[in-house]
Amino acid sequence: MPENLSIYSDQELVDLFQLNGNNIYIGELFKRYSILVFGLCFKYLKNRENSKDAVHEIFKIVLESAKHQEIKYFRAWIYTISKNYLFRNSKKYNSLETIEIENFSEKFMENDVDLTLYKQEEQGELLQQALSNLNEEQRTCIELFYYQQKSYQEVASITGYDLNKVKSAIQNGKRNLKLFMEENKSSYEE
Amino acid sequence: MKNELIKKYLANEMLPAERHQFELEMEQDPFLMESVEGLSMLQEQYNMEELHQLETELSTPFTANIPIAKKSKWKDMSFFKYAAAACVIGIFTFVSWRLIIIQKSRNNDAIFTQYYTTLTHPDAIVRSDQQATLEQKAIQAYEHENYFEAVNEYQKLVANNPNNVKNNLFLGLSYLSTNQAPKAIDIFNKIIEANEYGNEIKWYLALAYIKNNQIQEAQNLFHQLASTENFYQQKSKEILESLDGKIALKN
Repeated sequence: MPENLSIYSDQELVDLFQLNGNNIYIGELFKRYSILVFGLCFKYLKNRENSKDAVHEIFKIVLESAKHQEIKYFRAWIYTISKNYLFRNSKKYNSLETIEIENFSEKFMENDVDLTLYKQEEQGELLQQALSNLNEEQRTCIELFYYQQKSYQEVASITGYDLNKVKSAIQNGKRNLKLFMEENKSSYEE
Repeated sequence: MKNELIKKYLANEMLPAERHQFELEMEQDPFLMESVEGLSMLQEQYNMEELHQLETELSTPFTANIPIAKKSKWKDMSFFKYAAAACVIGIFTFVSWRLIIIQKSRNNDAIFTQYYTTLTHPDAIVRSDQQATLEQKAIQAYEHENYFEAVNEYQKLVANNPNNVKNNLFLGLSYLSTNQAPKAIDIFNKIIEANEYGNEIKWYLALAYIKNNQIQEAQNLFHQLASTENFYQQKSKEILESLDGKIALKN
């Protein structure tokens, strides 16, 4: 029996659990993800006891499903299960927040655009065009956050926008950058 | 991502560069982003110490296997101790039996919750025409997830034309989405022989059986779906493996 489970990656813990069915491996994963899943539940349910209840129910589903399912990326998998659970049970918890069901693997991939911002330096011209195509709010927030490496709070202080506006400007700006670059990449290469 | 980093971020104890790095990770990880948003709201209501308690409290029930019972010292027990033990065993047996029944039902619910997603209507028209036809109204209610309203509209459509497979299918789905599995089962069974939407009907009928704790009937349908190439084949195999008894897949 391993003494220190923290040495294992998520994937190794999943494999060990599926191999010998010992709950200590999935338990270690729950320890790693309890705060994350709880935070997600609280975001939508806004009630401490309901969120705790939801976490327990989600962990039960995970415990059952993890025995048999092929899990390639545990983090995305448990995120999907959690959001599906919250969506299906929004009436039970009287959730006021709209929970959207999406393809979360795609959502994780969509966020890879962050990396491309750095990696595509050689495509600087196209990126510059994409940036100049953004509205001022999005462009300012993107430049401060990614290029001047300011935190959300610092961006908010510099621009005078509130924190939520900064976050959504960055999110929307990223999406628009990605769209612009996808649309113009082929014509640019020609 | 270590929980300690999340706590440090929430407690505003990170250096600017560290904070920026954490936020970059949030931008790439929607799970982390949403969770931190939730925890920030929690922080407004509770202190950080609670997070430490929650971390242990939430994962503890799942962290250990069933403990091995210690050997009892039967020789030292008096008659009363035997009697008390018998009572405890009796109660324990009864409670276990009830728990097994409840657990089975919960497992079935878990499978249903995990695999049930409504079918997108092939003719989905989401608009707000005043002159919308009865069918458009039904589709609109269904696509807007107003399933109780969709039930009403589809009931009218099916009453007008009982043999329309598509309307029966979406009436069944609306029943299923409003926790009326027995009615969904009746409807799906009525159209199970139809060529149109054959696999969809089998899939949703099987899920309705799961919801209604009719496991044998569900297994039969999942076997049919698992044995031929179709959209639901893989999912059906997964469910068959999850179901009690782990019946081997038929070829």
